[in-house]
Amino acid sequence: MEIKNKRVESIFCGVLFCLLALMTGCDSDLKISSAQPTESDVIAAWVEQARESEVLSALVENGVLPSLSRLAETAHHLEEDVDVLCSSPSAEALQHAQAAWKDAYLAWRQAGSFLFGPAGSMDRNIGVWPANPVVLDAAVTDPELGHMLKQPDTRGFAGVEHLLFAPANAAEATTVGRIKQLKSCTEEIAQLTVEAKLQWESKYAATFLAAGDGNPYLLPADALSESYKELLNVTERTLRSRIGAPCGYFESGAAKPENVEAWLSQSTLAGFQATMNGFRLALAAGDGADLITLIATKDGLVETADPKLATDITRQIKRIEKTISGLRGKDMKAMLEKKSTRLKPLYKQFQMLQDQLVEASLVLELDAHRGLLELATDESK
Amino acid sequence: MSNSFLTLKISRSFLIITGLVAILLIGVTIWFSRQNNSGVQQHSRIKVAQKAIAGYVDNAVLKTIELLVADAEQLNRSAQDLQTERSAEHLDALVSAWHTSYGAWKQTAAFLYGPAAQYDYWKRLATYPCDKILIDHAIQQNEAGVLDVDSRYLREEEVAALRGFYTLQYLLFRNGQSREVNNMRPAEVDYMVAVTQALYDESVDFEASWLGTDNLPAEKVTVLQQAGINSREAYAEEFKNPGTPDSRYTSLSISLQDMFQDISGILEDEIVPGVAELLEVVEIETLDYWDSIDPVADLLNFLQSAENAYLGGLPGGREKSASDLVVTHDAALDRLIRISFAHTKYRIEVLKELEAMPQADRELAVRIAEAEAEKLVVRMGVAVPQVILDPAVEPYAAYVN
Repeated sequence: MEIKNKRVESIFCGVLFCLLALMTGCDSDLKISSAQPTESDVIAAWVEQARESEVLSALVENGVLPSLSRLAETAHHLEEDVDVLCSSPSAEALQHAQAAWKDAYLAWRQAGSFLFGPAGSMDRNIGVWPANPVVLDAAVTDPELGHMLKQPDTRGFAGVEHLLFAPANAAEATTVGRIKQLKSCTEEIAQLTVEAKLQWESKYAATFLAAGDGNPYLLPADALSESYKELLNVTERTLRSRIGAPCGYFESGAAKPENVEAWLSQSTLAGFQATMNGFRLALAAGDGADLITLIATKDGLVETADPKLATDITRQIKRIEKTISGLRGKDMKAMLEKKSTRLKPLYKQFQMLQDQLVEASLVLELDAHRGLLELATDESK
Repeated sequence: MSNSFLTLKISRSFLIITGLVAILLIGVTIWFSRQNNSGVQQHSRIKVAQKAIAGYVDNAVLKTIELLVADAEQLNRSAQDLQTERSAEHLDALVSAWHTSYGAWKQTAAFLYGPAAQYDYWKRLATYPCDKILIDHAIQQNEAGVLDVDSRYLREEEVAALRGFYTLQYLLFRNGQSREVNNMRPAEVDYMVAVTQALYDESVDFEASWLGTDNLPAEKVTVLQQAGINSREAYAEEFKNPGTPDSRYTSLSISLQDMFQDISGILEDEIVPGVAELLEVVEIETLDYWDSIDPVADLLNFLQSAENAYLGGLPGGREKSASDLVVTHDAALDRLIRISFAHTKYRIEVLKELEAMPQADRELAVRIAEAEAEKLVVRMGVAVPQVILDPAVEPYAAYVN
């Protein structure tokens, strides 16, 4: 009886504590410094500018160029394998094309953190999700609807995934209309990705690395902000388009599991992991000359270095990867049809990462906040 | 046995009932607080706005004008010292006092509404440019004994272009350099004493217009009495207590509009174009009497004025401010504004070395400073409507019944 009493007591205390915690809230105040720049700050600012240039070099060398190269290469393979499929349809050729699509798609997702500069406009052409299967299926069979095949939601990675993975067999995947659209879409993907890669290699990398000369970047921090904005865009896109909307987290009862990105090819989770690989490259691939190191060590004119935040971001990325890993092997669409809240933990973890990245942009005194606004504008168009 | 069982039973029932009642009470409280959450938040924002306005007036407006008065007094004292003994040291001290007090004057730029607009202190203390020909004429007349120029005559009988900071600049400098004491005629020094006295008197009047003559220290009241300047009501009280019968301000929003209008005005109208104009600054040796002696210092003082107004006071004496209001809406935006202030200041400071830079570097340095200033304008522009159009501070219109 005494034990029972104690249990009642502890339950009561627990409930009381939880309710009090709910009432008081757990928001922590944002760190605000009103320090004024001194002469030593001014000298430090020059040093930091040099360090930012080093980070830019590492970012280009270890992140942007390898990611765009891999994307262009895998997109080229996709185009080739689709050509083979279209000229000699077979189950094996279809499998090869599907595998090539997965490779290209994952390369695309990894490159997502680097889609700025000459790569900045690709997303609007080949990254629109979800595809519109009704229009696509109708337009590939009826020539009168052919003009609809130019719409972004019948093209790009989403359109090709539908064309390659929805049909039951190679014959069904290679009808006249489908072949034409498959070739057109994969050609476009290959062309745009190789163009982006070549433009980066031939000109833009030098422009980016020369940030501070005024052509066009006035300061290294301006180029860094350009890259950082894309990181924030990716977190926002992941939260909104890749998890929140298809799972119905914004509107009660509005879950649309069929809109989960890449479920048809069973690449959803691998896509999330590829995004995280891109994050790692963008944040921490510089061996000391990277954003995470800057966050941990760079004092700005107002803000101070925040090693804890740098550690928290690294840990959060690991947490997200663990969650992704824990979901592996699951059919995402089926899983979400059964229980749309299954991705809620992942959503919350991405949300935390986004908050941390926004905080880090302030610590680094970057001009990265337009990123979110730009995304909102893009999506409203 | 039965007693202890009964005790346990009572104890258990008591705990359960107490627990349920507590949970019920807390649940009702949470429900009620959620229902009234917006009301509580609104009340909290009203309090923050009231404190921000009071902090702004007490620590930014009044302290800045107080500093101007102290510097103007020192300027007058330095002019008197030069009048007593015409030495290079006293002239240097006067030039130095001019730079300091002129900087203090520039830092009042964020408070040029209200009394400053009503009584035109900007014009009375610093008409730009001064009337060089009339000044020379007045000095000659004084020298010839035709005129007896003193501070009161300058304030009451002459146009403002014959006094103020730019008149002193004209008398103290030639081609951007301070003049030789031996080249200064006694009548010019006498004229400067009159100008600095008028400047001091009108600075005290400016302070009185905000603080109220009755609230001034006795020595400043004496200054006003001796100058024949009428007493003033405390504008600060009206500004800090909008919506009350004695205030011309109908709401917190109207006070905030004045506050932010001048902050934004400085950034948009002085800093951004001022930085761009630095590229066209002529060599110091060829400066004319209307040119700025130190345009970078002028820009920094303007920026300091806006920053003091935003952060609620002079460095080291800041409390509640406009910044706190922005925090209630968007804490990150407030940090971005603080960052922008610091970056703009740093980039303008770099421009001090402009003349020593090659042309390409000059252009780049100016573009960088201009970009930072524009960023600050944009960020402030995002903050302003959030603060002044907050329902907690309405009505928004000054002419509402």
